[in-house]
Amino acid sequence: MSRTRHEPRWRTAVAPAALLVAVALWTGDRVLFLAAALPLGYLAYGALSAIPPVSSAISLERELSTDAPFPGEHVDVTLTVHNESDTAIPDLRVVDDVPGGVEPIEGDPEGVVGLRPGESHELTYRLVAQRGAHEFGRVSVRARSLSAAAVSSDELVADGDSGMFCRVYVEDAPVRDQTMQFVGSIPTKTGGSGIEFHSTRTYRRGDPMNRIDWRRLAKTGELTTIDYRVQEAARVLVVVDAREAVAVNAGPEYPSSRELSSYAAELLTGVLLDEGHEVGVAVFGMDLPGTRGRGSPSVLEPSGGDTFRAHVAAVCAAVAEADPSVAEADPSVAEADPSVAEADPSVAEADPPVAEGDPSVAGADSAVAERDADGQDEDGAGPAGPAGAAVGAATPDGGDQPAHRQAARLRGSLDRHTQVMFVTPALDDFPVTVTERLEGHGHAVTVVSPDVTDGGTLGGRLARLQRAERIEDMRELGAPVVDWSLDDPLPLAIAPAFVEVR
Amino acid sequence: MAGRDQSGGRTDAVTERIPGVPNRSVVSDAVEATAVSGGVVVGTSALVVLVVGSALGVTFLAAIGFLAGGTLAVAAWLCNRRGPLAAAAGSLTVAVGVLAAAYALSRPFSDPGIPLNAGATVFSFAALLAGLGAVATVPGSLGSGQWWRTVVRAFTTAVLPGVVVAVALAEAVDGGGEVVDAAVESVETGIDAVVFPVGPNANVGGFLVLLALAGFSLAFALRVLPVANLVEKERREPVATATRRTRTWAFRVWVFTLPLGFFLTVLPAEPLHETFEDVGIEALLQAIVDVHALRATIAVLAVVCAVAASITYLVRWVAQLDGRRILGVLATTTPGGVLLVGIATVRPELVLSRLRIGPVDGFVDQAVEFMGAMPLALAVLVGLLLGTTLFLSLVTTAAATGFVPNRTAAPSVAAGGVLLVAVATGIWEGEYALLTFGAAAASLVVWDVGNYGVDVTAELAGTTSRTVELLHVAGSVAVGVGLVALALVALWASRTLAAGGGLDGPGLFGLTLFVVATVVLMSTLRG
Repeated sequence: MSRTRHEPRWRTAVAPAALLVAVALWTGDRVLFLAAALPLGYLAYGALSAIPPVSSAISLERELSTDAPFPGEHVDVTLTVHNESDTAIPDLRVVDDVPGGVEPIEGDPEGVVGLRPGESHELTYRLVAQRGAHEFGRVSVRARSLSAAAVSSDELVADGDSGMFCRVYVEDAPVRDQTMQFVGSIPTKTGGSGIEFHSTRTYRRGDPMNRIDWRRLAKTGELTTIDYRVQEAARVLVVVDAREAVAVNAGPEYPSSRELSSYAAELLTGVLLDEGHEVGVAVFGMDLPGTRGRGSPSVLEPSGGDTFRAHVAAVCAAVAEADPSVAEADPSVAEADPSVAEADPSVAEADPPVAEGDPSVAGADSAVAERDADGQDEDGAGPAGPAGAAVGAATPDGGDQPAHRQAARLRGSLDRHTQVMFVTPALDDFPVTVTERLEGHGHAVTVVSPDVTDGGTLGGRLARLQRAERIEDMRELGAPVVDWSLDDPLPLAIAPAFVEVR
Repeated sequence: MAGRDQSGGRTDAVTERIPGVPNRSVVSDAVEATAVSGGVVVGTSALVVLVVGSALGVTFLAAIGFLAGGTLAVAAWLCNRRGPLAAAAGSLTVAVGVLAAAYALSRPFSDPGIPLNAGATVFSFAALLAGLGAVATVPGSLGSGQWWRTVVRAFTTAVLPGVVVAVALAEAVDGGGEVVDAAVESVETGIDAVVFPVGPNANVGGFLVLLALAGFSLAFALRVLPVANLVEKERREPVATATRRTRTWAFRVWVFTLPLGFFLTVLPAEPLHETFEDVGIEALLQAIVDVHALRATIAVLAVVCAVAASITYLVRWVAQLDGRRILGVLATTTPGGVLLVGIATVRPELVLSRLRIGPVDGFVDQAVEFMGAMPLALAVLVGLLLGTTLFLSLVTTAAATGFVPNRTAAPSVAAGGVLLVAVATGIWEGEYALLTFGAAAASLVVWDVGNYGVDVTAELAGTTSRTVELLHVAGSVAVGVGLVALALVALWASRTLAAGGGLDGPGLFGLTLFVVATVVLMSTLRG
């Protein structure tokens, strides 16, 4: 029920009335006596003013541009206030209860308006979606009469949208074509069954009827068979940069780089699995249970199936929450083969030129081999690397490791055909070093980089410039880079990354 | 113009918030006015002062008074900003504002073109208050102790000229014993007049002044002395609460009785006591104010409290002295002091000529002979600087005691000034009914719009709507126009229908009862 009351603000008029009466008494002047009635007239004005109760006079409707946004997506909120009564409300104050943890980035969730009978007014503001479920509270409403003496207040429930649920739905990724039924999507140079044209040849007995070039037969009378590019599955490792050093937000109302990277990784992984590729996940900067190796990077080797998908989701959730125990709590992690905690020596030997040809990583490779042997990492508690390369992620004891060492460890998890999709905010030189190492050793790298810099400050603009330079550096290394602006929806922003899987 | 804020108590309390939104609380410090409310307050105040002044033939007085008040408001704003430039500008502006205010207030006595009556004096003060409140409404520079900081800045500005005066006085005292004796005799006469008065007029007015001084001293002492710390720990809370309440009431006594006492002292004695007799309170008043023992007790209380508080304050201040900071404050406030010294040096007669009125003329000559024209002029200027800023601090004290809402002190002061314009117009020779009614209504409009634009708007931390504010203004103005029309009709009716002219004692009393009854009825209409 609305609380309607009269504020005693006009009782102030008693003082001027008393002063005028006192002076009138002193002078005996009738004009001053009559003048004393003016403040009393205002007192009556305040006492006699009225306002209808807001609970019956006001209706509210809230509309969200989307109630299932992706993380970082902008959500426009429109709150329509309608005067249902027959009385004008000259002063109406409305405050929408924005969900906790979500702050408006544009517009105001509050407003002051005067409404005639039957008139409506819209309050609009914009939020940035954060992970999880968010419920709007009751709308606080207060109406005042023209004299501001009569006041009616209440908290009303708005019709329409009352909440939003923000998460990454892999099934909603627009890049996936669910009608495609093939083993893999990577065209090869070999002709045969497939969908992409390769060549034509003379018909041979036993060729499928649906591959005969009937059009050529009708034109020329020649019987020929069309060969397509044979599709085969790619092996892709989605790598997430979740280091503490680059875990920043574009602003307090925006998701962190870890959240954005984990969302992108989960989406990429899901779409690639659906397209039939072998996909794994690696994380720099966190030691996650159920993954291979101790320290950074934590690697979940390429696999498939529902259990693997759940494991990937658990790992991504742990990255988003910056809490490894989140992954530990997932049953799919408990089912993971404990032997993956030990490195596979055969993988470390898969790239002999690495151990022989590159002196700069020789030490790192020997460290990998030593870890392979006894499960311990001799660099687990080591000091930082050379200046400028001392960017790294957490070791078991939380120290930093140079980028080239971590890149070398990562390469230990890759075979020669594995492609890498590297999700990183690119706020330091770490991803450039990793990309350089991987590209240099023949691994195709595609970089997806969420832009978490804030161009509104001088420091933010500088950071943005430096990030742009790093992106350019990575492109010059031959790695396609998807520069993801938070103004773009997540699936559309990372769609170009799928084109680069080759 | 007095009022209470919505909390009904101390104006620093947060008034009711929008329910369910704890972060969006109202602001309890001085608040800037919105564009609409600031424009209406300044425009209406200026318009009323100038129009009424023009109609009464004192346009220049109106303009200079309003500008003087506006200058003091700007000084208050500058004195509350940080930085040496602002401090220097504030020092200069407060000196200029005080000089302009003194000039405006002295015009009714020095300008032969202005009738020498109470109306002109009240009008000049009204214009000053209206200008001060109206201009201060824009930045909100009269609330939250801001005027106190202006007073402090005025005191530091007075240091340099004060030193000059002190040196001149010391030299003069060395040289002339007669004047010193005469000064001492004057002080003794003054004390006797207040504590052991003779004559009917000084009785009541003097008693109220003594009461006001005692109230101020008591309030000051209770603020400075650590009363609660003197009792055991368990009783500190209730003692602190009682001390706070006592201090508040002591301030209220000071605020209310000082101007009333001053007013009653300057009024002609005969008509005043006739009025008291008519109303039937003459005997009662005499029974209270003629008791010398009571007066002496009040005087002793005032002196003891003042001395104790002063010593405590001084000791505390010395203990916390920061020499560099003091030097910095003094350095930045020299511009105002230099201005005063410059005026007193270059044109001392410009100041002293304002004092050469009636019996004071002879005293001025003696004082010039005693200490010199320049030091005397400088002493007068210093006295004006300190006296004017201290007197105007009644406003902030009223704000602290709840008489005037702290946040809306500026528009309340402006409204009070406009109301005094109505009073001045009413007591001016000749009848100016439309102007009187118009000014009275305008004072309510100024108060309403200023209060609404600051207090109500602060509910959403400044979020407002120009349309809504203009609607409110339109309603207030429309009611005012209607009430003025009704008042004019009532005046015509009273002239046409009433037998005889003027109001006699019983008629006055009856009318007063009628007004009181109406007020009580109105206040019970809604809760």
